[in-house]
Amino acid sequence: MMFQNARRGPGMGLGSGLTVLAVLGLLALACSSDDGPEAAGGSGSGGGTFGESIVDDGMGDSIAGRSPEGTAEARRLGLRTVYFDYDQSSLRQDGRDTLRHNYNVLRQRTDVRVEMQGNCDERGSSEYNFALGESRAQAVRNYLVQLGVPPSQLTTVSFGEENPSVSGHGESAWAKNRRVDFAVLP
Amino acid sequence: MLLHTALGLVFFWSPSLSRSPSPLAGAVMVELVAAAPGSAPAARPAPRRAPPRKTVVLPKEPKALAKPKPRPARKAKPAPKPTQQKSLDDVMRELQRKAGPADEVARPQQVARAGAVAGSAGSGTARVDPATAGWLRRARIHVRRGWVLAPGFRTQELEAHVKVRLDAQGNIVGKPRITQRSGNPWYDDSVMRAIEKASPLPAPPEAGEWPFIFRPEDLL
Amino acid sequence: MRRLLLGLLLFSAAPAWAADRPAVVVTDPNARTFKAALQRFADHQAVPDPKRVTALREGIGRALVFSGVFELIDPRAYLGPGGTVALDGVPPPVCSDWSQIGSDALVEGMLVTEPRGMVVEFRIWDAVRCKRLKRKRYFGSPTDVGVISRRIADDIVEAFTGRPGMSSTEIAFISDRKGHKEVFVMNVDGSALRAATSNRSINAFPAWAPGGNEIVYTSYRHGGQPTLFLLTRGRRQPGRLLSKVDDTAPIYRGVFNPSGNRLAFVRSVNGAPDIFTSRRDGRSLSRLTSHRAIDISPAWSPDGKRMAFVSDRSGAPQVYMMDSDGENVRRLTFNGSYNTSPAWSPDGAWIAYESRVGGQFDIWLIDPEGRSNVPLVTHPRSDESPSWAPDGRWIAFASTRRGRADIYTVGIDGNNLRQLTSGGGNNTSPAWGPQPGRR
Repeated sequence: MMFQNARRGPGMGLGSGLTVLAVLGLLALACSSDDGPEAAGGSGSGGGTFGESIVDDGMGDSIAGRSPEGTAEARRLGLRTVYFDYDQSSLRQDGRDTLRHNYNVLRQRTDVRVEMQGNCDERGSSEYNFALGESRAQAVRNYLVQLGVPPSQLTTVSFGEENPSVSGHGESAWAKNRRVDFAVLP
Repeated sequence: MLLHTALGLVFFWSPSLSRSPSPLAGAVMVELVAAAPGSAPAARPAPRRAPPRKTVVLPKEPKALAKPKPRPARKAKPAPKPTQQKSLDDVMRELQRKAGPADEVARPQQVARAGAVAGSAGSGTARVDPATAGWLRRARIHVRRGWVLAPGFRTQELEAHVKVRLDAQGNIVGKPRITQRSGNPWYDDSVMRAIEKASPLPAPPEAGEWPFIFRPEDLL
Repeated sequence: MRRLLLGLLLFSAAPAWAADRPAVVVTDPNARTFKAALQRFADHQAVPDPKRVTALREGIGRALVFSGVFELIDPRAYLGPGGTVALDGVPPPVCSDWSQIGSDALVEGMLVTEPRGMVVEFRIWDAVRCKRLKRKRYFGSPTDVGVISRRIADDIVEAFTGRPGMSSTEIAFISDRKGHKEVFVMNVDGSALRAATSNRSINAFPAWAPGGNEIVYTSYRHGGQPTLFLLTRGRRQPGRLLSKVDDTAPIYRGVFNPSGNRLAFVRSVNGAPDIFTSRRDGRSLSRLTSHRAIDISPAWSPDGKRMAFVSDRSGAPQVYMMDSDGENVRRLTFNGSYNTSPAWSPDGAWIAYESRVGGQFDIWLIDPEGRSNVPLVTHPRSDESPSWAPDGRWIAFASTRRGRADIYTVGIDGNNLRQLTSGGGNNTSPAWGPQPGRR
């Protein structure tokens, strides 16, 4: 019984509970404890609220624990976003062109490590979209490795449909959200 | 659950149990739009069960199958402004008042019923005289009137058989006895209540013990 | 002698006769809701408080109706007394007074003051068969009237159906109403909505542990890859799960098994998400799928022996079944090219899932053998992420039918659509919590 577990008190012993009369139907009696009800916000299970302390770690409006610096830095380097068709993780021709461009950037800057962040539009199962975002990031990574970027320079992550670059519910917004972004890792 | 209850519950209520209503709490009913029927592909429920050995095919009344009533599109009420603290009771009342049938929601049990009706055709074998057949039909309609089955029961295959002793006027004599339990005591209870409520039944062709079978055909 | 013989003959002939009679076959119940008469509870408190007694009766009534299983009989129609006098030392109720007015249930009760607080004691009667079904007491402070009335209502539903009502349950979900995707919890009517996380990263897929005191969820709160955390009622800091599992691989979703000692989770090794199970800390790790395709969305059967999941191994996401050790994999859904988010009903009879039909996502029900497959919720916009109520009579889901995503509930017969959230960002991934105080 969770209510039992939630309380500690002198009255909590088994003996204090009235027990059962089972002759006529089910008769369940609640017993009381000496400490009685406590002030609201106590740790009474079944009733205490869920919550965590406000985390103020200076992340500000970060994306999933990432500093916005990394994205800005990637943009400064000239690393471009790759876009995808609906429900697809295969690269389009324009995506391959973008990645050849990005390859040229990365070839110049072997000192930076980049994270490729896979994203989806809002349609469909959000869990499937995490997987799809990961497939997209992997597709980008594999293509760059094929072109000759050392794998050690590349990491991937998926944000599924949780980090749209454009809000909205139409194809124009969706097309911009089916993407792999680049971010420079610190 | 039974065991749990029978062991004697020890409940403690702490004030923290009461979840204070939040001003953020909002509950509004969705707008009722005219149905867009035909989008749901037809379901193919499997035949529910083998035909019972001794049943009689009764003329079924035509059933109104899933025919969504067209409903004039109604403007949705604007969401209540979260300025005033709303009590839970208000919220519940509001939900209750506004929760009507929503036409855009499909009715799977009705879809399923179409299959069940088709499936039961041709299941019976025995022949009865027209007078008895008429009484069987009237008795069925009479008894079903008091039969309440909450949603969720029909996810199981449930069938209960009850013998009911009737006098010539249709009054139930003595206690009906259950001859085949469904396996779900609450279902059996619902059946016994339906029979208790039904007395007196239409006068039977002859006094004596008559078998009743309760077997919901809906899926949900 | 002849009479005795005749008697014997009749005696033995009668059952055979009866057996030969054709049966009345009843296949269509008339109603889905019971009728209840609620007496005004006797006020034996040290300081009588008529308002509290009224609040209790109204609270029970509303919660009963909210459960979808009962309707109330207008007290003006009562033939019997409108109020309880006492529960002991008085004659039992005259059942015919109550059954005559169409009542299935009669509820009597009283409030008393005990040294430690308020006690509400009540009895539930089957008015038709004149049987007492339950007698019980709840103890609390006077401010607990609302909670107690919902618990009593849930008990009444249980007495008549075997499964308690859902009026005292909660729903966890994800909302971005404060800018970030955080876990929120609300009462099942949409009230008492509050944030359960506030880490300002991305949080996803809340799922309850049995018992209702813990919620597992996925979070990016530590940066790096997403992994699982555990919220516990009354604790301010979430706990880590799977600490023994290498955390460089993303973990997208975790769900507790019905006994709460193991987790099934989706972990992506080398870019291909697969389904694993382990103890809470990650020990006794077992890999259930190892396919190059995407394998996600594990959903335990109520007995913990099987699992539904989603795989796109056929080229598009479909619902599959397997034993909880990963054996006997078979495909369950074949309609359409996008079926995801399976959720197993508490009685094991149905799997609710999300299906793309044309361009829209609907909620469908399929039985675990794949024989019956029926739509539950259809709408031109998207209905997603079904989650069963513990009573098996309701499903929560997220829908964009009114623009932004909000949480709705609907009866499994397709009736009683209710919108629980509104006007606060996007609200998704509902997870219906268990009955408080039960396992």
